[in-house]
Amino acid sequence: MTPIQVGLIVGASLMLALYMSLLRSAVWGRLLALGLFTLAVVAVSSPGLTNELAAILGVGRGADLMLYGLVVAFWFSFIFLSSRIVRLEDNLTELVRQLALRDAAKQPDGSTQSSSKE
Amino acid sequence: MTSPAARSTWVIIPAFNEARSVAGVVEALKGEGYHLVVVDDGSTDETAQIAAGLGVNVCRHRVNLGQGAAIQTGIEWALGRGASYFVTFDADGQHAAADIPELVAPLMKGRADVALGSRFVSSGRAEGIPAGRRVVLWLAVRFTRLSTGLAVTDTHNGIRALNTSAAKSIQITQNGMAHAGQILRQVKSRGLRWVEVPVTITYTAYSLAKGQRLWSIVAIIRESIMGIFRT
Repeated sequence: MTPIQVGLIVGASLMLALYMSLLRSAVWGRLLALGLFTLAVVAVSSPGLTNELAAILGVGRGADLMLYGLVVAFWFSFIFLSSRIVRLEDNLTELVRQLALRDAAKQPDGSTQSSSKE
Repeated sequence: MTSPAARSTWVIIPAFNEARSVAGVVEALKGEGYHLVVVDDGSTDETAQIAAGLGVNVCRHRVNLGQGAAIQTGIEWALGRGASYFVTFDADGQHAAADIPELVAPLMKGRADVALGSRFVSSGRAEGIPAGRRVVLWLAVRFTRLSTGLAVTDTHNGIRALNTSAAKSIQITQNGMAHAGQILRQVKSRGLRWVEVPVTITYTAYSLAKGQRLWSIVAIIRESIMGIFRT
């Protein structure tokens, strides 16, 4: 085992442990995490495997294949997360706005007594 | 401005931590007889209390959303109160209450739906503007003219007037400083008639310290890009 292989497997194990400890939900999340962890350990332990897969797909090295996959995964998740964030902000804005308008309308002269702490 | 016109004009004042200047701004506007609404955008100082103490309407965002969001909230408040004309006005003392009649006049005459205040057209003035700020503004104007397709001379001026159809038509979804460009884009895309009106902007040490930094330009670009991801 080369040092990098040890390091990556340790890293993956830490991530698995952290995820498992934080996860509240039941079986499926844990199964998925274990599955991904296993894939990672396999890919790291036998780099020859990724090289073979890469060759099938017409890519020179396993590491290059991993990189291309990472780029695609990155852009997918960036677009997805950005859409989620924008929607969250829109929802937050709507709530804060409706609350502000409703509070202001309640006061007899239309102004609001602001409480500094919520 | 005659009383009936002032009575149907709502001045919307978005404010974030402007405890030092909001009283002065509100008093000057009250003196002219306009309806006022201060939109406190989650200030951590006494901005909202000061405004409420002056007897004007205060809408309070519980958390800070941004000037664009505050303006939209103010517009919705004023729409709910039957406003005919909507004026956005900064809380830091840079704007002049005396400019409002000139902004509302073309709307009242039915010549335009939106009146944009400009420092750089005919008798418009930018008092005490530092040279560096003028350069940054010039760049911003050029860029916004290109991206919105509107031949405006002052793209990031917070004073503007809308009539009711413009107020109902415009929907500000850019909560932060990118709202200025968004308003212009919507003026174009929704076919609103617009004019530019000369106004005076007075820079004080106080307002300069709070002004746009170079970093803000990056933030505006980023915020505008994030709008692409709205689904």
